[in-house]
Amino acid sequence: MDRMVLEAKIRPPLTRGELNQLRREGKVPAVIYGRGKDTQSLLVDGRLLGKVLSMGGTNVLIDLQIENGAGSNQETVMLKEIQRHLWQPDYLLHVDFIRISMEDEIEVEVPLNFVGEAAGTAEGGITQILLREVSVKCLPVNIPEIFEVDLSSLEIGDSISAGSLTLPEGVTLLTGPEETLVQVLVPEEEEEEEEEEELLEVEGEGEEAAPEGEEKEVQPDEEEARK
Amino acid sequence: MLMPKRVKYRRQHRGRMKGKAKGGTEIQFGEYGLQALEPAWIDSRQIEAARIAMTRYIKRGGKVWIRIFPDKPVTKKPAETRMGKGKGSPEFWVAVVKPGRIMFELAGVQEDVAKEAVRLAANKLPIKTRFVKRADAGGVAE
Repeated sequence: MDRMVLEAKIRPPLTRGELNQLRREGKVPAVIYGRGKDTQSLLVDGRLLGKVLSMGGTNVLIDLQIENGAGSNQETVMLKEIQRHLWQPDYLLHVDFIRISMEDEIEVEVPLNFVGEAAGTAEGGITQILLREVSVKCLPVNIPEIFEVDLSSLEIGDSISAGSLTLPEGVTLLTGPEETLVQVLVPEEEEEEEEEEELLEVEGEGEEAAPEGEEKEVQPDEEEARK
Repeated sequence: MLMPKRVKYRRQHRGRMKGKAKGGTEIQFGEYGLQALEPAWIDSRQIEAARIAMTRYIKRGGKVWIRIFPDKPVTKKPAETRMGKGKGSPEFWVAVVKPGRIMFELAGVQEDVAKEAVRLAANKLPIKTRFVKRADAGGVAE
């Protein structure tokens, strides 16, 4: 996996309003922690961070150059958490970096890429993806970018489990090998649509005539009102 | 229609709908989704109408998940009743939806089909919504 370079500045304690102002200017508040060192609040450029994310994904190795008053020091980090705006996903709110050692194995989630179309879908089957990433343990240099899963051989009722993934050398699968990644479901029967239409009709009738239980409840109120 | 099987108390306070959704803001099961952009009470009939609109359009192709459940009873006093004499009787059930909430999810269909199905479903709801794809909604950029 490629390593990317990102610059960051030490961030003094700021108010929520000041942080929001910085976000509007394109900066993203961040924090770095891990490996027994002190936690530091940082500020990174949102545009450059977006570029790193789009090119390297979330398992990207980053050489973070942290500027402080005296000079700058470099740390090798990975992304631990990204907070985004709920309905503007490009607007980053906060990022967590975690320090890593290139010599120690780490646990990461590797995304699965499903390629091809299941043979069963031609017969009306529905492809259901159950897991979109698997967790593996490996050295940071060995982190697989993606695992490809070929769906073309799947008939209706077939499934692929995590154990059938081909892992590169030095990578251990932590997800249970029996866990299903994808399956092709039997198509739902057509009767359902007819049922739906019937239900709609019944609902229409139901609106006019209130259920008995509710009627009973309403009666005392009405009597009181009449009095 | 969706409603709880049994509840501990038949009547609830109305409550407030301040702020944004706390959970259920990411696509969990499908490929595409319908996200709320405004707070609202979505009643069980609106949920059912949206579901039917979606399943009719995608026919037998895909799978639909409903991520909201109407668990809040709404009461009403009968017409031409004087005030007082206690709270009215429960009339219908609503789901409290806040901005950011993924209300429906879809999988197993092409993007253009999903977009149209979600548009038809959104027309049945009383709020502004947005079509979301898996990568748009989550914290992971592909």
